[in-house]
Amino acid sequence: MDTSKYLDLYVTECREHLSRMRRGIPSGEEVQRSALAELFRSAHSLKGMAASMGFDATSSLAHRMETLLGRWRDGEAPTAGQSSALLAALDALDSLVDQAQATGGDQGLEEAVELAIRGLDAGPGAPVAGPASPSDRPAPPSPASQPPPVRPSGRAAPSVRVTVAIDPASPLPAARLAVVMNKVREAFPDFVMEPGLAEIQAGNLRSAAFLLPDSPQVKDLARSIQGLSEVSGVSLEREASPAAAHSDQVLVGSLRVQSADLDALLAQTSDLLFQLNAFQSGLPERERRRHRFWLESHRSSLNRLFDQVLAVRLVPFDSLVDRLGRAVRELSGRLGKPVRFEHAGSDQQVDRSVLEKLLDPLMHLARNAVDHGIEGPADRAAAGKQAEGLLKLSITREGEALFVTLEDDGRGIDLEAVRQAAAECGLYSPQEAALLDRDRLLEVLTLPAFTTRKEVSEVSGRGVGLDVVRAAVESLGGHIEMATEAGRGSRFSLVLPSAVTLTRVLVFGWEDEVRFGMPSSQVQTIVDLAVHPLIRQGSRRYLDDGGELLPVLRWGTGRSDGRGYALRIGAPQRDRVLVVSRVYQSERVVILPWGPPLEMVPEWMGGALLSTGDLAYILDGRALVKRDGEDVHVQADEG
Amino acid sequence: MPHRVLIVDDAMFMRAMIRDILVNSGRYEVVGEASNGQESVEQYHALAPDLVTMDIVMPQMDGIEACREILKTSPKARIIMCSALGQEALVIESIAAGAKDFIVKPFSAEKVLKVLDSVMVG
Repeated sequence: MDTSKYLDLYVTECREHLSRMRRGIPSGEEVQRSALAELFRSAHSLKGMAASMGFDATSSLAHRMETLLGRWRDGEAPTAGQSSALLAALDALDSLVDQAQATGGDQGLEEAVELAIRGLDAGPGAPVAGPASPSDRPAPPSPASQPPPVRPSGRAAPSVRVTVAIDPASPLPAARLAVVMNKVREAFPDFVMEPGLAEIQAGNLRSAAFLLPDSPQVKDLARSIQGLSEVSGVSLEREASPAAAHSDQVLVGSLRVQSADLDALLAQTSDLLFQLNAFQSGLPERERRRHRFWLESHRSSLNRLFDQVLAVRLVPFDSLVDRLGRAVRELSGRLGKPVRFEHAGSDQQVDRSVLEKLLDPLMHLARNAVDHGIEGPADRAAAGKQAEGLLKLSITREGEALFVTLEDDGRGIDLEAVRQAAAECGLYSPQEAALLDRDRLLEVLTLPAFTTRKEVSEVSGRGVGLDVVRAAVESLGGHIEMATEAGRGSRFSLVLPSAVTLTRVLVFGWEDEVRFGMPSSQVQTIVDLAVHPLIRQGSRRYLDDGGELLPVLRWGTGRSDGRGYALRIGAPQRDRVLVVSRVYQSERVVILPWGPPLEMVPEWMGGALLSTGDLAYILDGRALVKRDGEDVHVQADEG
Repeated sequence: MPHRVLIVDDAMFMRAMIRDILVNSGRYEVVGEASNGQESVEQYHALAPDLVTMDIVMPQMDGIEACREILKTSPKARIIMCSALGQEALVIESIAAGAKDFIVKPFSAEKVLKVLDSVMVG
């Protein structure tokens, strides 16, 4: 039986079970008795699914897990060793499922599987290792040295069923089908024909049907088959993808779209909305009213389309969190340092490309924390800490920024050692180094080629320092925030601007019709200048906001009659004020970055299409304040 | 410009018939003829035609072997097998070896041209 078309469904369901099991077996804690029945069922399901696919390694590992969980369920007390063996087995199953998704088989991980099985069987009262029960294994086990052939055909879902009919008058229909198949193989070299040519000839078939991955090539192929002699017809039928029904699950693996394509789709949707608005505003009032229903439903469909395209780009952090947890467990086991990995906010969604770029820096930070930050059990005991170290990942959204924070409760960074090393490696003279403050010392850590470690560690690798993490985060337009306290631990926050997501902006303008916007999160209050007129002091104007004097930004021009509004923009030292003539509305928009060279100007975040059809120029309030920064001192002298 | 064809068949009668069909269409030009497999391989290399019609059963070297021989050095060669009824297994073998298509004797001009045209297009 060709099982390849079930592969996506298999992968999806396995992942569901594995992530459910992982939640049921929190690292380092006792498994809840009530959770055992469900864990057992998951292991059992995994075993059955893997056996049906002919994935013997996966199936026998799941079988061992099932056995162990069954014993626990029936009253046997789990040992600590068994719990971690179970987690290790989950990790191995993760890899097996990855392998199945990538190659259509589960070979090549024999060592890891054997290791995991040995771990599971090691506990007291473990049964002699035996094969899974025969009833669950329709496929005969194949020795690891002779892997069954990989079935590449139709693996990628969704697929298209192609049916080719041969002219009934054809004298040699089987040979004709052979020509057809050759054509298919030219376009899809991996294509394996079933039935084979011998069967076709023996069966005197006059038509053939086969599954191909859904791609633009299929249409070209169909056209070229149709052009063959004695082919009376070719039909294409899109098979319902088994995976489609589960699209709300973690199916990141089945997404194969270039982000640029989605950007283009987004831009085109914007254009459509824009054209609709232009069309509508060009209509005479009477016509507009007459066609209001269609215009409005058109607009609402386009808006929905827009939201959907946006949503497609977003993925949750779950997969990244799983990978990180796995790495931490593996490393803490290897180093003999018990570490508890906690996480929060993994359901936060982020653009897929951002998630991919975050994996390496976070892996690096996590390894550093386990390797260097968190002390061994003896040191921790001496410091009065729990034997088990804590590594915590939290993902939060604050305003327009996404904070991905990793903190540990280890020894912290030795800033005096950093100071010394900064001088030794020639970054600063000893006199300068002595003056570096805390923030500057932390920043030194992220400079290329700087390291506080004398010895080379297998885990962290030489030369791969925080500079790499910093570069990765900066390439995403973000920055790192660091904090550390001797003996208490360290915290690293990767602060990222929200990528292409909906942002609420306040729309305003000056004398002309041009619309401007600013993320609402940056605007703290709006003050009517008719009620609170500006105050002039020296060369600058200020807003008196309840006794607090706020400098007015030199950006844009207020109305000559002094009317208008003051937008209070939050800033680290002192809030600033942007004076505008009009405030229109506040709405959620997509900020599309300007291409070069406008993107070089930090104050310009990008452009956004408003629901009215107008284009708005979006300003970055923080950058405006920064640009205005040199006046801080002038103001301080006066105040 | 007409496509250049090499005709391979041990029967001069068959070669003549195919030649007429091709030349009358105006789309093809016969640049060479061979009467056995060995000769066809040599001619192919000498003439580098756009298309070859290859009989299957021939003395010296049969059509399937000649087909393999040519494709060994010219993998993009367009070879069309000429077969009689009852030779289906041999045709399938040639297709598996890399022949692009086949025509079945007795030939009709319409069918022969349709096959050749589709091979030139595809």
